[in-house]
Amino acid sequence: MSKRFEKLGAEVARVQDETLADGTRRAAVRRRLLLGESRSSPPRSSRWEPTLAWVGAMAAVVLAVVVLWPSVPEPIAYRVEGEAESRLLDREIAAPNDGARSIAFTDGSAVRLSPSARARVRQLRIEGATLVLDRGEATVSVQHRDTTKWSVEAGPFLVRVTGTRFRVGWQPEAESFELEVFEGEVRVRGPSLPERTVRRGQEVRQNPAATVEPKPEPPQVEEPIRERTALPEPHPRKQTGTVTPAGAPSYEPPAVPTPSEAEAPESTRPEQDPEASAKPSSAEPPSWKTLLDRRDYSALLTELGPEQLEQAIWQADAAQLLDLGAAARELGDARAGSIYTAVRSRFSGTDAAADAAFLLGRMQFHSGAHRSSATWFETYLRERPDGRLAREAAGRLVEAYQHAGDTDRAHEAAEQYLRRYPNGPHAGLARSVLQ
Amino acid sequence: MDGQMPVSNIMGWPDQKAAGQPIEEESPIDDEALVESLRSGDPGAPARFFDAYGRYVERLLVRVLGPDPDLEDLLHDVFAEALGNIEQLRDPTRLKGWLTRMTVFIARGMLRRRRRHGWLAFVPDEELPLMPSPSTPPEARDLLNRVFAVLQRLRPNHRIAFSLRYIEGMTLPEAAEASGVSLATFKRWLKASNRAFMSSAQRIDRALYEELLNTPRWGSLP
Repeated sequence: MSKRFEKLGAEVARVQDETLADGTRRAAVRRRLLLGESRSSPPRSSRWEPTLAWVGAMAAVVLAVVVLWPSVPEPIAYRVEGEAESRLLDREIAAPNDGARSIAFTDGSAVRLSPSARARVRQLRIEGATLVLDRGEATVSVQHRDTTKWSVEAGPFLVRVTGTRFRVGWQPEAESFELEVFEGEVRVRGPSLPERTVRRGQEVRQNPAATVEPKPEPPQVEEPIRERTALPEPHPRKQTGTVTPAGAPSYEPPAVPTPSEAEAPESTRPEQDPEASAKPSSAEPPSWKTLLDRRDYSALLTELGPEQLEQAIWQADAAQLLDLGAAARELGDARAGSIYTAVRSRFSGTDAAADAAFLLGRMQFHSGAHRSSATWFETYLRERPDGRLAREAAGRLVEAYQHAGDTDRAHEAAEQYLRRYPNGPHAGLARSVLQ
Repeated sequence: MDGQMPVSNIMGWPDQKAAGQPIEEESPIDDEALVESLRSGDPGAPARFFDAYGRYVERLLVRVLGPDPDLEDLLHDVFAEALGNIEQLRDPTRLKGWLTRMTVFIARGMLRRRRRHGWLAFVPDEELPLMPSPSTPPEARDLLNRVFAVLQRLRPNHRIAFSLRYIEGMTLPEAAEASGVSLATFKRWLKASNRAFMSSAQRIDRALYEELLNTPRWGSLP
């Protein structure tokens, strides 16, 4: 058996080596090291405790960089109320029991720790910082810039910010997390809390006894997630799955989107399973199997722990998985890509796997990864050249290469599109690419 | 497997064995001199240290963790730890081995944290692993994702054993040394990883499982 693993491992290594040819990651790390930025994570073990030699060596490096390369931008610094400016990381900053404490950052952002709260600055970057809230509450105001990268870690929860004002609370003993957004919006994720956008006026609370409770969204707030329409909020729970006759696990491919429909969720379907709306009367939370049988994908995503959800992912049939992925996208849940990838792993060679490639292409397209998106559309076309999504994939391929700035491939894709679909919905775009 | 290149086809590519072997640095490294300059506070030493071993450490992390959004931070962490602890290196001629152990140690810590917080196994849309390069066939990327989907279910020590031995292509003594355990312990880990890999593949990736069982399709296997 080991010979087989050696063969497999060698092939994996060969593919990985292609990624290593790109030195972008190394260049970025090299720059961070020479700039003297401390690591992004706290020390992992006393076995590798920093020493005075490290401090001395890095101080010398920083000095050399400052002397030899004075134009290099520095990471932001911070000033705790009543103290001098600092870039010390992972140092505990505690508010007294009878008063608040403020932290001002040189990028204009500010944090106010409520009485008894404790926090640390884990990372300082040119574009922002990472704050760890160990306990208590903090009100955070982040100065928005195009490149802002700010985040707050509260226990196992992560709040990502580009520019906003919000309050975050974390009580480790109760494992209680709270988030209230006053301005702008943030992205938050945590255990049993799929990544989501929380906007002005909304709150998130989570602890073992209570789940996510977003307040109604103000109507004037612009929807920031594309392809997200008529979203069911986690509470009250709402059925979003499709209706499939009992005992009919066969896969039905998604409807072919036209360009005008292409921005719509891939499986927002009008019917509802009448049984699904009947919630169990028992206080026991439903199992993943119950929810899967009921096709209650929204509840699967929002009410199950990660292990249960993983079980569901590995037990669902192809149609269920694709619907689960669609529900994840509708909810703005970051796990949609992982779910589609699971479709390709578990049902490789099937129509569902090909459709998952198409859907991954759409996701990558909308996240701006146009070249990768093109690869997924090509994958679909190679696997299902005459599939029901082939025309759409061929058109999307033209768009993807055009957005990626790859003129040659866009040209080639446009020619192929027009040969096969001279009157197709992307024909106009294809002709414009060829002009 | 209709429409998807079988593992057997992908694995038939030339130079497959060589792919797992360490890539030698372009010029020989005088580890003793490098360590001495690091210890003496030479301002150019950290850059030389990173230039000498950055690619090697990055490769080890990629071998163990696969496509991972935290690779950059971990690569930074390894060098930050190494620079901070260079005084603790007893034998400067064994710099590479010391750095290897530290890399594996840090990767193991990450795997353990991920295992404790299963939700981290999911990556946000924008962090989905992208194609390594436009020339890499999607099938190859698929294979990569499928293998790491199986490895993700293994215990950290077993996953490390599998990655170092089979993907990085280390010998058993090298892999044991890198893992910081005895040869006997490493062999136990490896045996357990073989079983766990097949068991997980059987459950979540039947095609891969059957390809692994069906050795004749690979042609060149003894």
